[in-house]
Amino acid sequence: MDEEQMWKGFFVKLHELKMNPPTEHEHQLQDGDDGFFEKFGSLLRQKSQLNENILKTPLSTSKEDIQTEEIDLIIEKPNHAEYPSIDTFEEESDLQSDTNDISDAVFDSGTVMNVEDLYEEILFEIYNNIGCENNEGRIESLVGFVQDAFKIPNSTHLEICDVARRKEPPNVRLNIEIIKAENLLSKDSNGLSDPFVTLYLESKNSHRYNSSVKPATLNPIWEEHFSLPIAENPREEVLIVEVWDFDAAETVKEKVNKIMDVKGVKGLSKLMKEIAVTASSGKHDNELIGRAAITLKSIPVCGLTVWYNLEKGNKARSRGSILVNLTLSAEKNKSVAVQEHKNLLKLLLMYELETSQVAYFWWSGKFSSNAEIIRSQHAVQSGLSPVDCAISQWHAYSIIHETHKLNFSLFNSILDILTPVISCMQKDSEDLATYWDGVRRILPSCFAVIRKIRYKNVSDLNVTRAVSEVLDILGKVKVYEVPVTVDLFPTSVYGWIHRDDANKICNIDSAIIDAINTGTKEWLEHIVEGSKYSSDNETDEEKLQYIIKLIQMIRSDLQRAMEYFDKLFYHKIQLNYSAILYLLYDSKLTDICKSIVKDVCNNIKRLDVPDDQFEYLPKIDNLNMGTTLFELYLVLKRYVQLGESLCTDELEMSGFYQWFETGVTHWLDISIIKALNRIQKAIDLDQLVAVDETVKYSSSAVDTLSIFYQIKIFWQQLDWPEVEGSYTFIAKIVNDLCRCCIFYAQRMSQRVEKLTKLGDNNKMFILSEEWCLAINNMDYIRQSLPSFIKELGIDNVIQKLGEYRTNLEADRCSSTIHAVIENALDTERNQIVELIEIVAHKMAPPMKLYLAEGAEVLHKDSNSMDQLMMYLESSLDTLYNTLNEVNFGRILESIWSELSIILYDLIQSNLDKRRPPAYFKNLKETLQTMIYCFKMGNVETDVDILSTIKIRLDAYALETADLIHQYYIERLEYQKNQPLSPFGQLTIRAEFTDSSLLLTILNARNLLPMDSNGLVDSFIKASFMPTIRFNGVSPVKTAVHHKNCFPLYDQEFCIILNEQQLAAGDSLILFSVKDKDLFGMSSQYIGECYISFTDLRESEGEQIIMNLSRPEYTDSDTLRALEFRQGDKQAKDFIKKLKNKSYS
Amino acid sequence: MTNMRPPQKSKLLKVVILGDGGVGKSALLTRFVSNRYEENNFHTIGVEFMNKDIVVDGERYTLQIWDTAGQERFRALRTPFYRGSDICLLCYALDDRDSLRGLGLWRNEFLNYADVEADKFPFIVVGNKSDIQPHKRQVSYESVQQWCAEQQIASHIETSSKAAMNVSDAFVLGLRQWKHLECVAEAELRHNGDTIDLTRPIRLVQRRLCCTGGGGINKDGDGDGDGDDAAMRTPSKKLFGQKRSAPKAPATNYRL
Repeated sequence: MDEEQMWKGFFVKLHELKMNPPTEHEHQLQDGDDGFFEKFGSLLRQKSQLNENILKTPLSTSKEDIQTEEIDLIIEKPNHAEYPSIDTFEEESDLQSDTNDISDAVFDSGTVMNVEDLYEEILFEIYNNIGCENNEGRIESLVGFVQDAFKIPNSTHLEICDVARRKEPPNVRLNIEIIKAENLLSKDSNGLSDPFVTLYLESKNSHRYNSSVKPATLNPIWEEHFSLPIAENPREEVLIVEVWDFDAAETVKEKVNKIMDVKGVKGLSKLMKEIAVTASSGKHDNELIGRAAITLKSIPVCGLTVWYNLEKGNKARSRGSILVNLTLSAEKNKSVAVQEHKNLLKLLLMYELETSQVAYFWWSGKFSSNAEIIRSQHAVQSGLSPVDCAISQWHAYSIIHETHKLNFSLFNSILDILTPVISCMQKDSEDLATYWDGVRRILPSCFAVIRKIRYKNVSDLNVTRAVSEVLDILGKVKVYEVPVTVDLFPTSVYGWIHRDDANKICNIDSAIIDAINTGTKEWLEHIVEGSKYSSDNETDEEKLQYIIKLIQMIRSDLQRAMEYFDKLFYHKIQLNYSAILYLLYDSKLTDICKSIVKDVCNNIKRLDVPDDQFEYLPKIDNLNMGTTLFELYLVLKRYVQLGESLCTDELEMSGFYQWFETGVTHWLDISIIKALNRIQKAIDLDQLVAVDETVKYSSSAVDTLSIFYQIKIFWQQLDWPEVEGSYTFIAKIVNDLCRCCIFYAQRMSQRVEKLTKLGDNNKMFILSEEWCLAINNMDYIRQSLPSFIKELGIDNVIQKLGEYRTNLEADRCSSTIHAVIENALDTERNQIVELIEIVAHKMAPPMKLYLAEGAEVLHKDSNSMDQLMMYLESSLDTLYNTLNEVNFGRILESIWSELSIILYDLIQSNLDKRRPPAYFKNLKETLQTMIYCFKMGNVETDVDILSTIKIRLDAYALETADLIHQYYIERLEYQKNQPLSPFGQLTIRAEFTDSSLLLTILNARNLLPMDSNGLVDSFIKASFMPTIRFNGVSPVKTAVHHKNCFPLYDQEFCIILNEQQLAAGDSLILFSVKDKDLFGMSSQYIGECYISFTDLRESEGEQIIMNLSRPEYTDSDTLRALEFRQGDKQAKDFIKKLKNKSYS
Repeated sequence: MTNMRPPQKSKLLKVVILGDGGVGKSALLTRFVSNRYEENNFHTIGVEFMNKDIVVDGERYTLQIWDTAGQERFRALRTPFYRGSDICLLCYALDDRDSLRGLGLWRNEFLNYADVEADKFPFIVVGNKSDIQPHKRQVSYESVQQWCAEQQIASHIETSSKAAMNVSDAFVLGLRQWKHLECVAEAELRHNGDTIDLTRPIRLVQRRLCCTGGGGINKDGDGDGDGDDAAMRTPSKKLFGQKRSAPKAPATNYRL
């Protein structure tokens, strides 16, 4: 199976595992350590996300009844689960205070106005109602309303009523603004007019008011103001507005000059007319364009801006239209009027609030109709401008607001009117003072909204609305510089403002930030206190849980800030709200977390991690510490990521990981201990059955890899931010993973070895699939290791190291990791090989048994061979089907090596027993069958071992004579390969006839001197081998040639041979060269050489030169075989003769 | 004849090198393992790991050497690697008086994290940079000897990675010291008879035969014994090739 496929398969499987609920097997597996890795890895991540969701949910979903809650948003008691009741925040006074007190409070503010005076004024206004509205029928109800609102007792009421009735009606004025006119009729010769407006009251038409002349236009814009006193009976009065064309007093000559400007015939006739008039009268005359009559009773009290069509006579012809703004007003002292209006507003508002059905906060700013009539009458009759009214409202509302929270939108809309005109106000004007006084009054409640932003559920739209309004107000207010005389932030009210030194000037911007910070700080203190455990001696675990909870609450607060408030703050006052929050949390949290985490890390007891021998596994109880710490790490990591996206500043928290260094080491220690334990358990549970039919490994391999997978996930989640630490931790993880691998291999071997130990030792070893699976498992883990380690992101870390430090250092780190991995791979491979050897070794006894039996008895009758073959075949079949190619190859080699040992032993022991050659012949045939059998497995078998054993068996199987001949043939081979000879050379020639061999011994050269004179007396003896075949054929001898190292024999022999003798190609001629001793009986041996009949026939008729040699010891199986035949006389004699020759 | 695989196992020993930053720990290791000297100044990051096979007194050893970073900020990162060590080299520089003073702290840190007994553990005190000019020398041989005596550390050696002086000797010294202590421990164990506390790892010669190391199990007939690195970590093919040679072996017994 190639590696990629294997991986694919693995991940698919892992995926399936994830999809499916844990099986019984997994439960058992996880039982041991309480699902440690699942917790540490993916489950923990899910859990932390889950927690955040839980925290988030109540923020967004608990929609409580808005109707009941919307009453005074700000001071409402927090009822959210997350913000348990905080009494300290409830500083606002009780709303249900007595109305009289309020009235007192209202007038308390330095006013000199008496309520009764104001009452009289208001009654007077009611009786002298102005404007088009016919309030005649309502006078009674208005009076009643006012009496209620002012809370005037009846007696006083009648009295004041009387006074008011008898008072002279007010001097009402009609205020007119002539804004513009459009589409006027042209009156001049140039097609245009030079319009101006004349105003007068019908009753007083002598008193006329003229506007300026707008020359040469049909669409003039005047925007001019007029104020006409209305003496009496304003209801019947009619205002006449006339638009005239102005004709300047021009001379006739000037008029004539204008002829060039004339447009059309009509224009010309007009000019002619003008010239005629001018010429005749000598004076100018303006011409009426049109007129509008406006009855004053059509004007409402709040005024009117309206277009009027201009008319003249009864002609229906369009003469243009004019836009006029008409308002009524009474003459009054301005400052008194404003003061009155302020007080009136307060009274009306108080009454309005009292009688209103809705809460104060929800008052829309619209008075009931009676109140509105009274208010507007007062405004008009006092001649108050809209700005005056706004200032009065600003003042009145802000005072009421101090005790009865009003809707911020009211202030906002007032500010819309006021803000544009503030800059025009005089520095010391009363209005400006009123404005800032109002600001001072409403600001605390604005800041309160910001500070207490967390008191309400954000799902309540009103919170965001309130914040939005408040920010609008602040945005508008902070545009203008606060006058030096105004102290907007008195210490008594703003205790929470951060004042480093007393002289620090507070401004609205800094106060906003202070408000945000204060609110956040208070909230933080609250949750810090609120979530703390009551007992002082809390455990580390509790401390960590506490921080996690804290951070998650803060996170959800930030989440909320980003989701709901950031936009508002940014758009309205250009503040990054959540960034401000985060920065505050950052330093506070850092303080809290750092000390606790460091504390906890220091408290961690070092674990007893087993060393490389794994002689014992540490207890895994009480090892749950660390998961919570890790959870905290993840939470903090996510928290810091959030901060980095929010703030550009350097965060204190960003170094959080450093507090965990000891912790990480601890986790890694836990990991290895748990991993080892789990591997042990996985192996114990492993039934050594393939996981499914597509793969050839069993459950423990999958389990072990999934442990690795979890460690990988752990590392990925850890995502250590600092590169040097990353490297070191990776080095440790790699080392640990390697140890796991080795441990797995070690325990796997032990596990399968137990399989046979349990059974009968004498029983024949049967190779089962379990053994193969064990080998496969080990190999599978081993092969998976590098890719797993690669997935840890080592390359990336090394690369970063190179960038951070130098390439030299990165290279050293890289080679360290490599060395560790290589070590593990080597060790594991060795363990696989070892197991394979064990398997082969276990197969040895039966193989030996069969072999021995098979060689013992006669081949034909024996079924031992068949049994051996069957045994081998079934074993090899299992191996071949289960093992991968590499390991199958390995085990074949191992079996061969076992077999060769067995054969060796067998041969050796039977040689000692002097077995006949037939025995070895049997053995030889067995071997050949076995080789055949192995070749079925289609694997290249080991040729070296086989040839060695085969050669030996060949030798042992031969009869002695054949052995001896075999020796001679070996000698011939040796002679042929000999390049030079110290003994000399012999030249012959031979020819075959039908019945004989003609052998000519020609000469010898360079014969080794044997005599003291340095010469030799040589002769040649030629004998025919094997002797059995050439029985009766005598050896031939040449004459002796004295004292000559280069003797020329030149002697021809004719040897009669039979057909059979001639035909055998392996027949040999042995030429012995001897030195004839003059005195002695025997001849001295010089050397010998051989030639086969085959060679003779090849070189028939040619000279053949042969090197002489002497027999000496060679590492020859043939000789050894002969030597072992001590009981064989022939062999014994031969060896003896050979020894004589070689030592001669 | 039946056991044709000679037990050519190499013992695996874990060695840890400790000492202040800049005393030349990595240089010592590089010289020992690769016989190189790196002129460029560099810092070890966390830990480094190298293998080295050596033959001492006819026995083969594979040293797994963990070189550590001396800087304090790496403390949490390097300590996990102490566990399971067999030999500890405490390094100082001859031209740095402070580095000698630091040795006591290093020793304690090691004892603490490796969880071993001080008097049964082979510490070797190694003085680096013996190639410096005499006037730069701040630590005298005698003063170190005295310190060692106080700490009951038997082995002290001065080396120079630059000049390749005494480098292997330092490691061999450690190895011999280890062997000596192992023998003592074994003898004690035998003396004590049955009362072996099984809950604690026992330091026994025999226990380190197959370990994390590549050379851990060389059960093959790696008969040449020349300490060749490649031979120690034999790839599988070669492993079999050598095993094959085994059956031929008896042939040499034949003499005429």
